[in-house]
Amino acid sequence: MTLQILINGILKGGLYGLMALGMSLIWGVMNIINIAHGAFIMIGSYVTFFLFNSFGIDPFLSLVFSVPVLFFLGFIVQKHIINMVIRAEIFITLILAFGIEIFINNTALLIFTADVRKVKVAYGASNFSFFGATIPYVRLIAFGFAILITIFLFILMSRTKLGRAIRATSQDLEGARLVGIKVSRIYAITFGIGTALAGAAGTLWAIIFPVTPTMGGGLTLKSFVVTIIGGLGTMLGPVIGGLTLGIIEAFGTNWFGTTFESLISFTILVIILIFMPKGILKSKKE
Amino acid sequence: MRKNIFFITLIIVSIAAPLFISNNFILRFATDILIFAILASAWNIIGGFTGYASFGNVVFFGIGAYSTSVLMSVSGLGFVVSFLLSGILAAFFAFIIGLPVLRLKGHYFAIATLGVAEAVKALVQNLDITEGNSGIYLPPPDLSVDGIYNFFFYISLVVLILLLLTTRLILKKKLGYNMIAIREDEDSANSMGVNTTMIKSISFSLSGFFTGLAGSIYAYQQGFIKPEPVFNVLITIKMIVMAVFGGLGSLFGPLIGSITIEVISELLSSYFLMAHTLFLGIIIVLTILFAPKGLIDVYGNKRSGLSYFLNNIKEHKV
Amino acid sequence: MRLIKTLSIFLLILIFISGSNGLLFPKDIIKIGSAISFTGKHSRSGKLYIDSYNLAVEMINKKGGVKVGNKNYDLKIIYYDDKSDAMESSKLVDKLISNDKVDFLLGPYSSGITIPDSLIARRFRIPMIEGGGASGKIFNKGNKYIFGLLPPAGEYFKSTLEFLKTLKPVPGSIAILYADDKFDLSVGEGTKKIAEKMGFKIVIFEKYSEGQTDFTSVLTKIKMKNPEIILVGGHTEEALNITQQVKELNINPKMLSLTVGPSEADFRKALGKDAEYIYGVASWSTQMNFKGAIFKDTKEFISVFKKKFGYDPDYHNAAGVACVVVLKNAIEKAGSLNREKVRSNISATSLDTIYGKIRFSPNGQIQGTSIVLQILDNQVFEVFPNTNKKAIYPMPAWKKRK
Repeated sequence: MTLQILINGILKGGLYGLMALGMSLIWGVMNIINIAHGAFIMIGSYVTFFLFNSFGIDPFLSLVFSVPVLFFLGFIVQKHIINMVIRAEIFITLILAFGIEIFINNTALLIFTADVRKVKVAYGASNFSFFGATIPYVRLIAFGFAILITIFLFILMSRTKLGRAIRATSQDLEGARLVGIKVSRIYAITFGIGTALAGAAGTLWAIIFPVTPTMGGGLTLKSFVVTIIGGLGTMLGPVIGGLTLGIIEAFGTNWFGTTFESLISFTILVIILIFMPKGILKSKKE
Repeated sequence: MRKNIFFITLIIVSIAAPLFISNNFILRFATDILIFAILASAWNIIGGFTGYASFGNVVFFGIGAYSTSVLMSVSGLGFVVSFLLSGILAAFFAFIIGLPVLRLKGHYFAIATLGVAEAVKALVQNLDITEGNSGIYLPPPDLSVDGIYNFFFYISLVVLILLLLTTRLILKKKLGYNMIAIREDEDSANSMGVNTTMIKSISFSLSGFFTGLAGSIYAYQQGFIKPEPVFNVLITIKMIVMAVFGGLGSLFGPLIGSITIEVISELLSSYFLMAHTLFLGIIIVLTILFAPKGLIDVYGNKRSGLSYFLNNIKEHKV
Repeated sequence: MRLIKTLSIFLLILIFISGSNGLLFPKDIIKIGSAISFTGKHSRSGKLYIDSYNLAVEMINKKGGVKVGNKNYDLKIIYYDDKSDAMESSKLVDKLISNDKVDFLLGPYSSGITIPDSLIARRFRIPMIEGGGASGKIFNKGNKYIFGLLPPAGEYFKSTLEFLKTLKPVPGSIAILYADDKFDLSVGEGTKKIAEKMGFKIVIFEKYSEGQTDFTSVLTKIKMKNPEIILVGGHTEEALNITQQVKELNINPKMLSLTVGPSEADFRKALGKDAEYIYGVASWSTQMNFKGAIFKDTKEFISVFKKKFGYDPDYHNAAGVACVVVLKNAIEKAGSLNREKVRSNISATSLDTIYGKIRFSPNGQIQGTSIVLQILDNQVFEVFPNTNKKAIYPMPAWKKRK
């Protein structure tokens, strides 16, 4: 039973990690907390649902669509909206992101209605046994994709010119400008990458769970918790944060009951913020 | 002087209004506006004057609402006692939670307060004394039908006036100067010998106190409450948006913001059954982009028309 | 000063607009008010009731309206959107009463919103008939003005337990899983009480948060205890998640039964083959056939409904139609629009409708029990107490299905 719980936690944690990756990137580079993150995840889920439903495209394959669509959307939002206020007081961008979230959610409610949708694939819930524990294939594959995407982002950020430009901008805005980096463009691209990651998370989410227009809010909150646990500014942070939260939740809800899930995660959030605001990875160096 | 006239006119109009309005809905609607005005003005103390953008102020609202419910229906206390105790409990909670949380700055403070609010909601959903997630009844007020509507209107009005007077008083005293000093530059305020921890805690507790009172009124008016609606993060957002829309860091800004937003959204939702939901999102985005200093600044600023709005963008874009 | 001017203009607009609504309708109309969820998280269920209310009103008006004395009135519903928010809803009920001067009220969706609304109905002594809340909390405060058409939540699984008793051998162990909102809390606790009285052994009794998506934790616990029966009280989205995750974790109960979900077309569409053999409960199903008051019978109602809205009605829809029919009947019996007279006539209702025979308990909730459903060949059949199709028990194990 312990093994099963551990596996449940790890598989879910991988998804949490991917969900938080985009939020962590945007936060780290531009100091924007993207409250609308969950809303972008939701759009990613709907892209997958509609491609599957209308054209029968396999949900894993639809990553090829949801990622660029969400990149484009994020690019536009940053370029034409958030860039306009990015130098205002810190909470201004926060409340702006809230406005965007409310707008996206309500638009989705009008377009998609509140009906519960499900991507129903033939291999949906098939599974295999592993030392007495049961492992669903889809969750395992989704977990694999989440890790792959994280590695891909790591390479993008550390090995490419774009990645270096993004990192330079986040470390020294004026310096970056001096060496000829077009900051507004880099910001738009970064936000686009962040939402593209949200889109990928949305696709994987839609394969495992049903999709509704209101699902975003809870996912944003989860992403916060993961981002805070992992700490900002590293690629490893969200992964560690996600796995930590996934495992703690799995064991915690097993001991205390399912209704305690949010109490557990938000208590962790507050405790970590108070005692080690840089996240569990960096706390020792302080 | 202008402010005084405005204030006095407003009080007189408000006190007299129910005498001429026989329509209970208008009174109820005015009460809801007053409650939001209290929330926005209370947020203004910590967010606008002290510069700590709390994204979890709804926790005080929820604590106020639930304290009143539990005190009245479980302990059998009367409303007035429960009402005051609710405010005090919310203030006390603000003080205690403020000690660690107010050490955080910027985004971290915002997220920490949001986390506190969500954690308390989850706790209330799991407690037996609050009847968990299934909700709790309050005894109904023992008044005539019209009496009920007048009662809630006047009690909200009294709280709002008290809140505005308190804020005004503080702003003229050292406490107010210190609060603004913290907002402008906390480190130098600290080095000038301002006890920033104390000032911040007082500011947070005051905000919590009035927000708790508003929660108490809300609960008694509803007669039945559940955790999700009274701890809803959307209420925090609404209070911030109203404060920003009217004018952050000004005495009457939040009041003006809440009146405008509530009236517009009521009008829209009675004409557009579905599409009105887009309003709140749009107004947030437009306000933040074009008038982040709020209506008060739009009226008071020397620039006018398009150039005012464009200038706001020019100042903050990258 | 400009500010004050602008503000007063605002207020004037408001007063003008809110005051004018009451005058728009001619006199021979009975105004019914409903603040219900057009938007927000309950908008999906809200729509089921809105469609049903509209259909019922349309049919009644087409057939001559409501006869009071020797005068015929048309029904007219005034709607507001409560945004799935309790504070908004109770304010709008105030608006319906004070501004629009409605004669009667129809209920919103969900128990949490129904309660504050019903308190205002009581304050003004206006009867409110609702089909969207079944929690005992609505009815246990002695509110004489609220009437509910969903059977008591605590007895939802009673028929299922009775069905289990008829089996040979009688299954021994039951797991009960329920959401922590008012309604499902009553379902969970009621079921436990009845099951224990009937001699069943409850091996897992656990609640989860409303809106939960991941159930692997509790399902892992269930898998360890391996109960023969799993009973779930929750909402559609949770029902979908639970069913899928039961399969993911390869849990094979002899019966998986869910309160909400199986009867809905959405559920079967979303799960496809995996919905097969799942049990459900409902106060009503499309296979029942009752003589109706405005429709000839349930069959006619279903075909008219499908033609108009393009989806299969479920018990929400039938209850929604019945709300309006009960009101019409009570007004005609009372022979006046006097709310007290109508209220006592609602309370004394004894009426055949497409939803079944309607009678109210003294607390205002409908008398009646639920039936056991099973999904067979992608359709919902009543399997108990009437056997429209023979139940397949135990459910075949996941891995043995084609």
